Amino acid sequence: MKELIELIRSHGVSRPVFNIGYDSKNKRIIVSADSPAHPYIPKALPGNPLSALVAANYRDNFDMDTQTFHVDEEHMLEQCKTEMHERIKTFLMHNMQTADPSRSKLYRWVNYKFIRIDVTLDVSIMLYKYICSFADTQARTYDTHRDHTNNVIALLTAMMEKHEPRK
Amino acid sequence: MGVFDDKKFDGLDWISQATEPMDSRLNEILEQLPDRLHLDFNRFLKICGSIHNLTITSAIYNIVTDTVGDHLCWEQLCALCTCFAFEVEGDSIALDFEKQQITGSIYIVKTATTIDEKHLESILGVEGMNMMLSIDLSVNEAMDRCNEIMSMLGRCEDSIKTRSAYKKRVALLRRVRDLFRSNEWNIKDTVLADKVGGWIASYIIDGNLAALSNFCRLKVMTHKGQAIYSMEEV
Repeated sequence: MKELIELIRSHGVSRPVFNIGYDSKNKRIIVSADSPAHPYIPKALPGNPLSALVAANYRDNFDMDTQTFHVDEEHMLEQCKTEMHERIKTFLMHNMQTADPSRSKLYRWVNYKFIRIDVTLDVSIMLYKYICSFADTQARTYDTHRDHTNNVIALLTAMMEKHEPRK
Repeated sequence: MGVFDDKKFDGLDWISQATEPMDSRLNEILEQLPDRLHLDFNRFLKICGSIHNLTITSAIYNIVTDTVGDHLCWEQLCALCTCFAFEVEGDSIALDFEKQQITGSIYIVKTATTIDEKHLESILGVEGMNMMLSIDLSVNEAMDRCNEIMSMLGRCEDSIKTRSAYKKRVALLRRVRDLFRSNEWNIKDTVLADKVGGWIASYIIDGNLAALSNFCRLKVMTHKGQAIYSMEEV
């Protein structure tokens, strides 16, 4: 989690300058509050999937009290958590060797209960980085990465058995 | 009789008496407002409140409050806004919080020195009618007083008979609205017209006899058949 937060905080912010337009028909001055004139363009560190994830979910908000932009850390953190969780689920959907992975116990556990355990974020980060190292952008792997695929499934299964002991 | 004299009308020159122009407080307010006002950074933010679009209405509302200190209802504000427009100079206008300035220039410009008379006629009596919205006829005495007013207004015979407070109230509001839309009483002063609704509301709600007296006086003056500019109030 520390790594994720550091990545989020490493980004800058947009300059607080807004373009003003004029709508003569409706007698209105339009301030482009959602799109500053000099927006900050986040850049990912090369070869770092977590950095790319953070950059893709970058958001800053304008604070009228301080008249400056601030990185919306909370939003970015939540979005990253959600996307990592979705990536893990998609990975299972594409790579579990069952007829309908969505009906498997493991998938259902990952879908509903995985996010509630304490160490979820750290595990998610680790799994996300691992999956990105051998899967494509659609979380699909190929036969050459079967061992890695099995590792991920085994890890998740072990976690599931730890937190959901068999009755 | 002196109490029904229209001193303002009698004081008008013969051309004004012949043409009967509308006399409005809004034109006096308009005269007090600047012809051209530059919106610098601080004034823009003060008027805008935050980073939102700025309409001419909200701009004029702020300026009127600061300059004149008057309270205007929505319809009056809109009438005033018909005499103003934004003027923008510069190819690229931007609000810069870093430098605390606006690049380019924005002005509020007065485009007319008087409000169009048709517009004034369309908002005649509106402030008074807004006061009538607080009329509550759930009390019997209020219902009786409402019937008195409606009998004086005329064309409310069916509504007087109804025992439904809701229907009576709606009918009263509608009658007064129609009266001002056609300017049946030929009132040419907007301040006087705005008082009518207030008198009606005051009498119905509180039984204010002074308000009733003023209303009756005005009604009597309509029988003269001439434009009404002023009235001696109780």
